[in-house]
Amino acid sequence: MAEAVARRLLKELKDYQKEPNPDLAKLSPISDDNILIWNAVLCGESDTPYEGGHWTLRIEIPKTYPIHPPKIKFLTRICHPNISFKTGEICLDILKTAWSPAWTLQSACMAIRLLLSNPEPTSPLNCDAANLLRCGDFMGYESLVKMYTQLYAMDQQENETNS
Amino acid sequence: MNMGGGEDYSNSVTSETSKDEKSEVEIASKEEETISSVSGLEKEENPTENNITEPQNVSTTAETAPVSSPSVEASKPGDTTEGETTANAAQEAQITSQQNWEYEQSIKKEVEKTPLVCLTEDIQKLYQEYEQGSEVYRQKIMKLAERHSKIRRCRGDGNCFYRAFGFAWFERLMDSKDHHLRQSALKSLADTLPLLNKAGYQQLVYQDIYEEQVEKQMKAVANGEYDEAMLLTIFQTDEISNYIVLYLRLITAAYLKLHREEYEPFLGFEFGMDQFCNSSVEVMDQEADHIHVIALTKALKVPVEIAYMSGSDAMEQVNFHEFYPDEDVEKGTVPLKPLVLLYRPGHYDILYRRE
Repeated sequence: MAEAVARRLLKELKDYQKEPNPDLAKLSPISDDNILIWNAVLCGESDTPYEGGHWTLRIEIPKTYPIHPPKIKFLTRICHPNISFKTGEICLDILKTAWSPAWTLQSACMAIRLLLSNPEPTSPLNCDAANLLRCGDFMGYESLVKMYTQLYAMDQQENETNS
Repeated sequence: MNMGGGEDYSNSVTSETSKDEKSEVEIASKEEETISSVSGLEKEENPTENNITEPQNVSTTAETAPVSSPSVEASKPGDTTEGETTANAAQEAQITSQQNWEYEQSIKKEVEKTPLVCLTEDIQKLYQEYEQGSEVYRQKIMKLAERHSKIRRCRGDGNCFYRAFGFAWFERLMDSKDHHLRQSALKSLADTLPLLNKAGYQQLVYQDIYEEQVEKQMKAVANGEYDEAMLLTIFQTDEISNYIVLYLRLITAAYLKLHREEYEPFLGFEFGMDQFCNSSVEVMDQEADHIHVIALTKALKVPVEIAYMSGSDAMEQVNFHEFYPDEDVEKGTVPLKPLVLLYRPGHYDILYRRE
């Protein structure tokens, strides 16, 4: 089993390296010794308040992957209704009960990137961000997100506040 | 501003603020699904058992939820104690999600007592299950017993159709000892690689599972390396068994995607085929419906007959649905005898026909 997951992950790594994804600045294991823990760096989408930001994700892969989903959380602080500001935990169904074994680490990261511009304020991990959206204060929401993006996600060198 | 205010929710899997009626209903309906997948029988058979009757309460709450929601909504705009309300809501949601979680765990534990695939049992055992229960079921089992001698149960974890299909197929090939049948099964299996590729699945998603798990096991069966006990061990081992289920799910999804014009009309308006496959076919533990059965039998060219037993049906005979792939059988070859499955609401087991 452990072999199977390692083989699969090496294939994913090669696949990413062969065809780098401009929206995903990095996707690789954190060390050569442990292929079950990866880091990824998400690039914020243009024309959204996340534009210009880079967020590091920590990916923990279970030995039963891809039957079971990887655990993914933000290491870089981010302001988003479905992501915990403190712990970086992500509330996204495909990372839990709706995980499809046809996904890859890369597609999971891209789903998280998509979540950034498609927040679901009814299931908040960050109530303050969600409340702004729920009461329709989009201006306030966007400027808050922008502020935190500038504060934490613009300088790639020092953005791992939660590691 | 307290940006960490949402951390109270961190235990909740999906979304459970009490303001969110939609999610409550979703959770409840998910629970109902879980129940029906545990066993369609127990619900009718053991009405006294606590953990079986519980969900009915839950679903009742869910049905009433939309009624109570307007008052919650009303208190929202301009409410000065918003923070407090949120906190209370969070607490309530916490309880609900906690109970929900405990309940799901208790079901899971109960379900996991059954091996993934069991030893065969005499069909009389099935009859005995209903001795205190439904007369209709007893009648139907009597009818069933005329032509069927044994039943082999599978764990009711939502994967039972795929697992029952996989086991029954492998076992049929093991027992047949027909070289040609075995080779054509291997070929059908090999043909699923281009199918998956054409349907847009990345090779890295399926190649290893095919080579290292499914094909390897099928070859061992074809070479006569397995007996019943060994095959059972294979299917009772989580990893191998789940990989086989996963591969069968991918084949099912690929077939549906490549024949979307034909099958999309059955999905209802809210779903496109890709979304349907992504949420209801590929995902482990999601139950199989008619459309899944059609797709898998056609993709692998394996005939299946399913005995449908439901308590609500007053007819005293069991309806068999035949899923025969419409391929032209090559001349001079003996076609594979259909696999026989038993369906009771939400669950599949394997049946054995009298010789």
